[in-house]
Parts: sequence; C-alpha cells; structure tokens
Amino acid sequence: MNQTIATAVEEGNLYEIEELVNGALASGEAPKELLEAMMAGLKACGDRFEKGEYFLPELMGAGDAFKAGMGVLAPKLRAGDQVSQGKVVLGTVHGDVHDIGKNLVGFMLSSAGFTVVDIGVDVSTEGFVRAVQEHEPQVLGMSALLTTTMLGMEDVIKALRKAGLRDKVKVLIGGGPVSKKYAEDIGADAYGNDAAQAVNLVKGLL
Amino acid sequence: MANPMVMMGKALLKHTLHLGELTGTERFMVSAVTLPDRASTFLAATNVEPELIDPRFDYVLLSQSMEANLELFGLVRQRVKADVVAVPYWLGLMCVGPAEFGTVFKIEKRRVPYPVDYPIKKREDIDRIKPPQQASGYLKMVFDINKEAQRRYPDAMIMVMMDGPWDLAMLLRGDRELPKDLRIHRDYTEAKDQATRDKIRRFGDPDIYPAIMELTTQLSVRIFQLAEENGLSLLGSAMVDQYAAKPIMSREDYFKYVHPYRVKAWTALKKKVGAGYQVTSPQESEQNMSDPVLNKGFGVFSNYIYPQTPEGVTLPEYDLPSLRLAKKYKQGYMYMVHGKYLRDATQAQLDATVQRICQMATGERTNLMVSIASVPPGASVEKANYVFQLVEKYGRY
Repeated sequence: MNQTIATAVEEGNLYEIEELVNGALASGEAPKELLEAMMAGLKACGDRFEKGEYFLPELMGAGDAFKAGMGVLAPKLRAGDQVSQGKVVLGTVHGDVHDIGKNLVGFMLSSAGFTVVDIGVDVSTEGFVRAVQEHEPQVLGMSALLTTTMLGMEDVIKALRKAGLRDKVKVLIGGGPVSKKYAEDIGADAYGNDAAQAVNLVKGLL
Repeated sequence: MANPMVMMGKALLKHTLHLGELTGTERFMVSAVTLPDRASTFLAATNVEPELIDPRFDYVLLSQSMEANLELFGLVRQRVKADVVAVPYWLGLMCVGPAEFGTVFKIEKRRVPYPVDYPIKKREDIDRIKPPQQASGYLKMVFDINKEAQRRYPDAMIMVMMDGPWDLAMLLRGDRELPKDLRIHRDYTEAKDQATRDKIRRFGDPDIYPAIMELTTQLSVRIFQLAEENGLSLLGSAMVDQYAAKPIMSREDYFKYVHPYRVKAWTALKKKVGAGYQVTSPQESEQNMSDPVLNKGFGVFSNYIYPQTPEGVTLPEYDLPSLRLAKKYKQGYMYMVHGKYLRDATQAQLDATVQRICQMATGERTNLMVSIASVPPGASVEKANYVFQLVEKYGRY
C-alpha cells in the first residue's frame, strides 16, 4: 500500500494529494491500490476521531483530501475497482439545519467503504421519500438536533410505508435528542448514540 | 432585578442569621458562594416548548410580539416550581443578533427559528458588516423584553447571555464553512515552509478566518455594550462560545485560534462578562482553573456537554470527581438534566438519578444547582416539576 498517500488523506493534506496521486500513477502504481490507500487513510482518520485525537476540521480535511485524490483517480479506475459496502442516504430532517452530526456519520461510513448520498439539511418528508426512490439505498439515515424537529422522523417513516418503500430500506436515526426508546416508538430499525457507532450499526442492518 | 450585589448581601445575611426561609432567588444566589439550606433549582423559561404551556403561543407569534414573550414568561413562572426561572424570550438564535447582520432565519409556528442563509459568503462580505451604533430588530426586542421582565418581576434573574466571537462567526459564516476556514488558516500558519504555504493558498484563503473572527469579536463586544446602553446590567452575564469545544475542535485549537479573540472581547468589556468554556470532562474543568478568563463565571463546573449514555444521562462516573473539583475551587456545580432524559425516563428512573446526584452533593457538602436543559415535546411541565420536587426531597444539606 502507498503509505504516503494513505497518510496524506489521514492528515487532510488536501494541498498535495493530487501531486502525490499523479506521481504514483506516473510511476506505474495501480489505480485500485491507490484507492485502497486513500480508503485506509480515511479509516485511520475516523479511528483517530473515535479515540478523541481528531476533531471536525481534521475530518473535513481528510474528506476534502479524499475527494481531491478521487478527482485524479476516478477516470483511471475500471469497473469493479470500487467495491461499495452498500449505499446509505443521509439527511437532516425538516426544520433542522444541523449539519455536523450528519457529516460525521457520512464521513465514518465513507471511510468504511459505503457509498454515501448526502441529501443535506432541512429535508422535507417528501425529499426523503424521493431520495429513497431515486437512489435505492439499503439504509436511510436521519439526523436531528432538536427535540421539536426529531418528530419529523416519524413522518418520514410513515411516508415510506405509504409509498410502499418501508420494507426496501432500513432506517437508522440519530442526533442529540433521539433515543433508543424513540426509535422503537416510531418504528425505526436502529438508533445511533454517536457517529462512531454508525459503521457497526449499518453493517448490522445489512 | 434590584442590584444583584445588594440582593446577594441580603440573602447571605438572612441565611447566616437564620432570618427565615430563603426565597428561590436568594437560595440560588447563596448557592454561588456557600451552602444554602438545600440544593437550588433553575430553569431557563425559553427552554420550555411554548405549546406545553399554552397552545395559543407559537414561534411566529413569539418572534413578532414582545408582549407574547412576556406573557408566556409569566405563565412559565407560575407553572414551573424552580427556585429561579430565567430567560424570558423565545427567539432561538435570533436573540444574539445575527439577523441584524444578514443571517436569514426561517420562522415556523412549531419550530424554533433557525438560520437558513449566512451573510459571509466571500471575503468582501466581511467589510460590509459593521458594528451597530444602536440596537435594532430582534436584538432590540431582546433588550426590551429583558428590561420589561425585570420591571414586572423584580425578583427575576435577568442575565445577559450573548454569543462570543466563535459562535457568532458560526451564525454569520455557517457551520459548514467556518471549521474549514479554521483548518486552512491553521494549516497555513503552521506550515513549515513557503512552498507549502503557496500550495495552501491555491485551495483557500487562509486570511478569511482571522478576518471573520476580528469582525465577530468587535460585534460581540458591541452587542454587550448595547445591552448596557439599553439599561441592562452585565453582572452575571456570559459570553457564550459553546461550539468552540469538542468535537468541533480540539482544546489545542481552541487556545490557539479562538481563545485570543475571546480574551480580546473580555478585556474590551472590562472583564465584566463571564467567558466560560464548555468542558467534556472534569479534567478539562481543572485545566480551566489555571486560566484567568475561564476560571470564573456561571457554570464553570457543569456536566452540560459531558458525554452521555444512550438514555441521555451524563456519565455517572464523572459526577463525584466533578463535585469534588467544584468544592476544591469553592464553586457550585451545575448539574443539567437533559431534555431527552426528562422526556424518556420513568418517574422511578428520575427519582434514582436525582437522589444519586443530590446525596452525592449533600454528602460531599458541595453547592449544587440542578437545572433542566429543555422541556421538550413529549415531556411535560409536571415532569419538570417532579424533578424539582425531588431536589427539595433529597437535596437538603
């Protein structure tokens, strides 16, 4: 594995990752192996977040470095080089613009090899249903930071049922005011107490 | 409120000479310096969802009418049996002034107003925002509500709590961009050579972060000054930067890249405003005690953002060390019951939790203040009152 590239992603070296990936490709390294190195860098960053060594700016840096590296690498990859662990749609419910928790979950899932479709914040009930129809994820993750907005999660689950989609997607909820009891009450499949749990929870759902 | 120092003096005298039972406000004040008769209780009225009090009130009405806020505050004071019920306005983050600088808030009946667009999109936007000469809009409304609440309820504790430089910057730049600005600035500042610095510049502007923070430092100072100019006392006031903590940023980054701006604001305000730092562990509380800015003010010792169990209780193993630290530094410990726990816990669970924390505090003879972070939908004012009754039962020294 190209440790320099893994470290560049882990440390959020957005500024040099393109040069490094270009250099590695020029010297004949296989795109697939470079992708694995970048994924390893993301995972290492996520691990350091879990240990309390890294914080939001570091995660954002690693995410940006990964994206920049992929900008170079993507055209070189062949079908089958990128093996996704599964697809997850993530969004923050209507009335809530809190991005951070959702982004942390998205980062942790991406670093574990999941394809993450982030549909943003303040997403309407219809927006969640449309996203499930369009992207056909295995898991839908909903986030809320407010005790008032979390009530929208139940609306989404009801709307998924009405649209005949509930059996096709597992629903994971999280955020400060959400609890296991609330997840059970509204018929969600799982509840995550923090971003670090997300990967294992999603793996458990699949 | 009458002069807080005079009130504090009278309360201490009454308590020391056993001249009758302390009122709620007196108990709360005494608990800041010595042990009162029992642990005190506190609730920010604004943390009670309006519809739980009276369905006539919603956030649209409350954002338009000063009188609606005052009426609702009066109703909360009647219904809630805490020693102190404070903070008389339901304006969400509009209360700290960002709407007056261009942050756009969405206001819906059943959701606290929330920001949907931020005024600082590029460097030039920073120059367009100036410290205001006078209070206007929602900021003026907050000052007016505070003054009128003070007039109607002379024993109410009206404390000015406004955002510090970082939290205000989050509201003017947005919580997606500001952490990135910080990272680019940090990477640039700490780069070992010019070649690296040149590379960083290609990916972002390393100077936008300090420019934003300089601006929000000035704005924060000016907002507190305007509070005074509008007749409010800064005694007991607090400069809030609750997002300048883990997991948003490391403690090291806080001290290098946020704390200097807060010190600048604190100094400009003649050190009258508390500028605490939210801690995620008792160890951090102890570290803060060596800092002249962070070691004083309301809630220096608090479990507010400690890690929580999935049920919403902050880690029980932190309680005793936290209480002992508060005692060591002769300060009170603010124990927060989170809204999620209030909503989901059974009465028996609440009983066990409050009993545990109260008995720990009375056993250690540490000043304890118990507060509820929010009374959310699904909970009730009666459930909040049950917690306060439990403090009366178990919190006697």
